[in-house]
Amino acid sequence: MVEFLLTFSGSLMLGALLVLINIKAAYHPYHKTVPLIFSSLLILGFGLYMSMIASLEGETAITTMRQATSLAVNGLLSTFPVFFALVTLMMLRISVRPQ
Amino acid sequence: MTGWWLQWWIGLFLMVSGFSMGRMGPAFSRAKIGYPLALFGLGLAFFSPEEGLISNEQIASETMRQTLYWAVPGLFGCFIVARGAPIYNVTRPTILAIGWAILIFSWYVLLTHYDLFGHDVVSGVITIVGLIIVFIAHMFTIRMVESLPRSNETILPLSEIEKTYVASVLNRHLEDRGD
Repeated sequence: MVEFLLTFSGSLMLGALLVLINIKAAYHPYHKTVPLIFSSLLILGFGLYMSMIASLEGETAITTMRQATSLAVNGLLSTFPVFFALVTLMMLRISVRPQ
Repeated sequence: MTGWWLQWWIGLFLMVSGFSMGRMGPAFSRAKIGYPLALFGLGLAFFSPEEGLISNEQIASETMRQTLYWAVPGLFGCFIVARGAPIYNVTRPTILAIGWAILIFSWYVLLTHYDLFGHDVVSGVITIVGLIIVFIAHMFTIRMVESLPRSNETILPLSEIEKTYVASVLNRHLEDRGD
């Protein structure tokens, strides 16, 4: 149960970090980034709080964050074969489509 | 405890940054360095030492390595198949066959060298659910921001340099279509 909670909080933090990196990398002057940064930081903080509750006592915030986010990365990677199967089916479909 | 774990995380963040830069349209100058940056990040993460990584990071790093062995030929195969697939009555059977050969090879690597059933399905589902929640929150925020009344500030016209740049982009695309 603790591991599932850590994975969930890690996925929230991972998602928030992905959004923050994307905002920074894809920035242009007409972007209204402040509300997006604020909402992402809110989700990041909530995920960190959840992971701190779920993790062992005495662990620092950065260690807890690393533990939870790497669990989420692992969970995400484990779903890749399913997506690859779907993409292969799509490739099959475009290969044999009628002229 | 060493600081080598940072290399793994920096590699992952550079991958995401590079992909974000590479796929976007308006930042033409940044888009050029996007995919090389993502490749550099991939290299950093792939060749990061195990030293300093905590247990979950070690598992994730190992899973990432195992995934890359089949995902790289798989992506390449999909790209070749897409290039060889019949479009507007033009068929390229040789390219299609090469693409499918690479795709079958990647499936062979996946089924023989990847621990397909060694991963916890529930963790994968929980991660996807968490990411979907973040995505929904992100979309909700964008919708809220876009619905706010616009300010009365006047947007400045394009500068001469920007005009020349836009004209050169349009010319390049129109020339491509005119062939």
